[in-house]
Amino acid sequence: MGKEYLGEFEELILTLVAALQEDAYGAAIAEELETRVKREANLSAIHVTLYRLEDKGFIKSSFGGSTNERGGRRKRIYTITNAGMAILKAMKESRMELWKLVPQLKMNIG
Amino acid sequence: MKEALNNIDMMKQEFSGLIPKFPFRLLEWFCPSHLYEEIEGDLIQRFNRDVSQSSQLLNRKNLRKAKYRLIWSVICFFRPGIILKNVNALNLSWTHVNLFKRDFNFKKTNDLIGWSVFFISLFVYSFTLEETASFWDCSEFIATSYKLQVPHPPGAPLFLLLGRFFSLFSFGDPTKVAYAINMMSALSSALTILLLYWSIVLIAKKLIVITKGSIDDKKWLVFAAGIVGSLSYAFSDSFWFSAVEAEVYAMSSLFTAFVVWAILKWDTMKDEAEANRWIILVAYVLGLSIGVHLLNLLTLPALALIYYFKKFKTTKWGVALALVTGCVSILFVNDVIIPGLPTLAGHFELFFVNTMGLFFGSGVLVFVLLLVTALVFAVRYTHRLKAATANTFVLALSFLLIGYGTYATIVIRANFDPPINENAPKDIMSFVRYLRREQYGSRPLMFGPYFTANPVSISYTGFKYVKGKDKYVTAERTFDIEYAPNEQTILPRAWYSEDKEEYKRIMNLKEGEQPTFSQNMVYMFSHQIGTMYMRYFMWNFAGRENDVQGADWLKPSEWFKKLPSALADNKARNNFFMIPFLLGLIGMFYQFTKDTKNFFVVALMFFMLGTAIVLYLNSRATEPRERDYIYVGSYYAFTFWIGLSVLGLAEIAQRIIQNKKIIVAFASSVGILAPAIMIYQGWDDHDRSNRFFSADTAHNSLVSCDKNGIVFTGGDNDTFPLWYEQEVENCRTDLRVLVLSYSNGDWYIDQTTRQAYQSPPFKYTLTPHDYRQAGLNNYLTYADFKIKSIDAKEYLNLLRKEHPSLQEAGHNLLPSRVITLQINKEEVLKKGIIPHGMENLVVDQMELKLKGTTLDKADLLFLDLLTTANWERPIYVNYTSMSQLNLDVSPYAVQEGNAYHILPVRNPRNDRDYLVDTDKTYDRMLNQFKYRGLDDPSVYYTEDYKVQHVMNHRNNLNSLAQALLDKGEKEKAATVLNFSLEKMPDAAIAYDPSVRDTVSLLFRAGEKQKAKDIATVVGKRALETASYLVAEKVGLTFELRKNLYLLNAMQQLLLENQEIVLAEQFSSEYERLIEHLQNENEVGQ
Repeated sequence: MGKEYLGEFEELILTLVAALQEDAYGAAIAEELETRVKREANLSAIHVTLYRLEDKGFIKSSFGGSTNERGGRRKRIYTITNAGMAILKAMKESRMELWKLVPQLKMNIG
Repeated sequence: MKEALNNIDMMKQEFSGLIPKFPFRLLEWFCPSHLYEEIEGDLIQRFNRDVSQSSQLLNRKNLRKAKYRLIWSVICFFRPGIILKNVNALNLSWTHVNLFKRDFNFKKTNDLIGWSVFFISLFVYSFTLEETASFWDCSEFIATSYKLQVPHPPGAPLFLLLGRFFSLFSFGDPTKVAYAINMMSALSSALTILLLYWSIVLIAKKLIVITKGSIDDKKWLVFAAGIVGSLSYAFSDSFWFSAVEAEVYAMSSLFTAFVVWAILKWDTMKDEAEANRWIILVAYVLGLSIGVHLLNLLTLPALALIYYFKKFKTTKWGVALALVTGCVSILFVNDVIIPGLPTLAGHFELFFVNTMGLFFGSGVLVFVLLLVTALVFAVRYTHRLKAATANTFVLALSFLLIGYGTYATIVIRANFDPPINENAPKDIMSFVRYLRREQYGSRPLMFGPYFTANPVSISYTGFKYVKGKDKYVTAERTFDIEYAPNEQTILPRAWYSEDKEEYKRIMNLKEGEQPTFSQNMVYMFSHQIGTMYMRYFMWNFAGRENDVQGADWLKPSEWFKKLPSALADNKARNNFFMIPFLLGLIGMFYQFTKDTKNFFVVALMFFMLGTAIVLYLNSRATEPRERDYIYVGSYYAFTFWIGLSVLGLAEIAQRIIQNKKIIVAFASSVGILAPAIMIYQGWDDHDRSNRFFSADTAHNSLVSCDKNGIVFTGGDNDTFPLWYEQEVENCRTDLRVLVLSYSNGDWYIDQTTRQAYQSPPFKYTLTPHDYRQAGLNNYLTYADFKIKSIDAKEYLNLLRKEHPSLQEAGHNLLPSRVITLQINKEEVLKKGIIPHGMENLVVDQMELKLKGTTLDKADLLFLDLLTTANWERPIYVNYTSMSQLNLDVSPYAVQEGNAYHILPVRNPRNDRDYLVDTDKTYDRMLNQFKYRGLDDPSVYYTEDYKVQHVMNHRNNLNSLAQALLDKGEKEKAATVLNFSLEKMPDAAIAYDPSVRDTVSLLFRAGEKQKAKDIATVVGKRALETASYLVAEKVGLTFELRKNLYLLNAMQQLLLENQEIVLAEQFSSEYERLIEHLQNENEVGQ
């Protein structure tokens, strides 16, 4: 792995930012986490993670549109940067490498 | 389908209106503004989704759940990852500064600084907090808070309730209760500083035009003004003093600061409805403060002025009218609402119970119902009329009364008969007397006698009612004393006849000479306002000489004087070089020229909370202690000006310096000198940590007594700490502490007939009927019946029979100056109460001589107890109560530790003050007494400790040593003396006059070298101090006399013990000083 390190939750969020594309913002990510990963996460945790990822340069942000549902407040839309994509890929690959080392099925139980 | 969706949308809209606002306010406060919008949006989105989670099923339960979730989410945002985003912006690299300026708007910075000064002061107070119950009323307040009992009138019910709440933080450890309740003062004071900071900022903002947007130099000046002013108050002498002990003044300051801040806040509000709500809040807080202390009522004129400036166009007459309204509202609350309503309720009660024959409490019940109905009606009626001002007024009045409602707890608790139940205000009649502090008497204000006036007659004003069997019955008559018209004056200032000598000294009067009106006025200005107020004011902002009662403020001529060590070492010698005072003058002048209106607001507070109190209290010439803490409100007002000096200084600097940043830096750093020098100089004499002797001396008094004993005390510092020890720390609850002066009240005597903890009820010969307030025995004047002596039992029986020959003008008489008590020697010896070795001192009859001309009810009670107890139950007096008793019991007093046991043995020696039970005293003083921290030089001890209590302990150990030497037990005596020197060494608490006996006894006990060493130290120190005082020409003050006495005493002792060289040196110096004084005196004449 490179010099930067991603925590498990950071990796999850970064992946979701990449997956959600134009619709990646705090509340949407929380919803996805709940429905897809079945993980209840506090909004504050997601926001803090997003800021950290942004500080590290893996994502960037810009203001998006506002909706009635949000009481007219604008969203901050996150998009993954090249660096972010790179680390995600690197992590996935290193995981795969490690995965291969695990004996898949132990036949000689008896 | 589409319609249904629309419906849901509409409902959602509706619900979004139901989003609680306060979580967002909270969020806004700590969340960096560049992140705020998106987070808020996400939260709203999440909330809306939660509300409509189960599609059409929008119900209240869902809504509540969504609300909780929202609040929880906001709380979760209070985490470093978010908050530190603020601080990141504070990163001092220059690129970030602009970001910081944008992010930190005025309000947020203001809040942050406010809470910072809060935490700074809280930190300082916590570090210097008293760890146990302090002297004076604090011990009483802690004892009564802890068990919600009834303290001295007029009580402080809200203080007690909150004190009780804070005491819970002792978590079951009684030794931590005092600390927890003291912490309440620290917290109140720190909150006061927070509100003061915000108030100064609000006042400063009126002086400087502040534009919206980034924070510029002007805003920094405003912040600096707030910091300088609020911290100056935080570290001012009197305020700091009250912040670290359990007295009402800290909380009272908080209420004062709150109403001032609230009204300044109100002043900035544009929305009428919201503004009116703040008025109601102010009224509620005023009402609550009645249950603590009335100080903040005095801000009403200043509040009225602020109200007037906002609402009306300013005219001369308008200002006058506003001031009159303010003063009238003080009278309205202080004289009509507080005592007036209960008094009226009392009239109702009297009518319903006595005239209509209904049950007790019926009149009060009807009155309360009528009052509540009237208020409810008024609120509704004005609401219907849409009369906003009238409605606000009625609501404010209602809330004021709700705040005042805490007083109900006094009556409720009094009816539970708690052990401390002062004046027992159980029904409306006694409650009104409690509230009106009737026991303290009144002082003339507008018209009254001079101290020289002789009473000519008495005019009866009415009756005191007390609860009888089925109706209220009249007790004593109430009366006013009348004086001859030519001995009275308008505005009498020198009125208290017992302070005659002081008045004569201050006004230079001859014996019997009546002061002229102008002398009366000069006295008011020079003594009442000058010595008893301005001196305190200057202590706070210029510095003080020391902590000896009567200490002056530190004048410039004293700043660089070389002092003798005894005076220089006084930790309370604080020199501020007048910096805070001068800055205050600058600020005052600056505000006067720039913003005259608000100058008058601050000046009015300064006057009302200072000089006006002096005028109103019309204090006597002398007070038992320094009363600087009464006037903290005016020091509070003055610190507004200290804060504003920063703006003034900036204005001056502007003329010389161009660079705006340098101007800000200059003005702020000069301003901050004030609080900096105050905390630097003040720390050592406000740091109360590791000081326990106020509680330990009480513990020592209690363990001095035998089981189930009765201890008579004098009041205040020799009583309240005993209450604290018994009620809170559960020390010796088998004993009963009786305050001699309270024993004149029938309510107090009534309480002694009940069990208190392990202390059984008292047995009397006389009945409650004999002790009743309107009875024959309120005082018993001596009349010459030509009887040499009268037997105590016989006398009590005659009183009980109400024998007519003893009565005169509705009072019983005392027919002889000597009361005797027959003793059955054998029986007494059999009881084993006579100390070992005193068997031959037992008398056949005790002769108690009358000291003055009259016995009080308390003396009668003492006599009754002593007679009826028949030596079954030990009776003790302490030093103060012994001198207060009108019967001379001293020949029969046997010292046991710190208490005197009254026993049927007579002291045979004239050269010994009291008999000493050496076995008990030795065991108690050396093994059971506590002397925590008395050997620690870093602990700060005031005169209250040194003069009263430490000297008392040293004296008592001396008399023990003396008694041992009299018995020939030389070694044991030396042990006692060494114990005294080790537990209370000179290094921690300097030698006091008791050292004369200590040195003399050390010589007798064979500790010659030690005696000589001490005599040398004491003699040299006394010589140094006395020489300084003589050179300073201070006159024959107590301090000078004390040092001359010690010098002479050391000289004599050294001479007697063949230390000729040193003795002669001291002797010649002593004579030189005396000669000097005599010469000076002759020159003076």
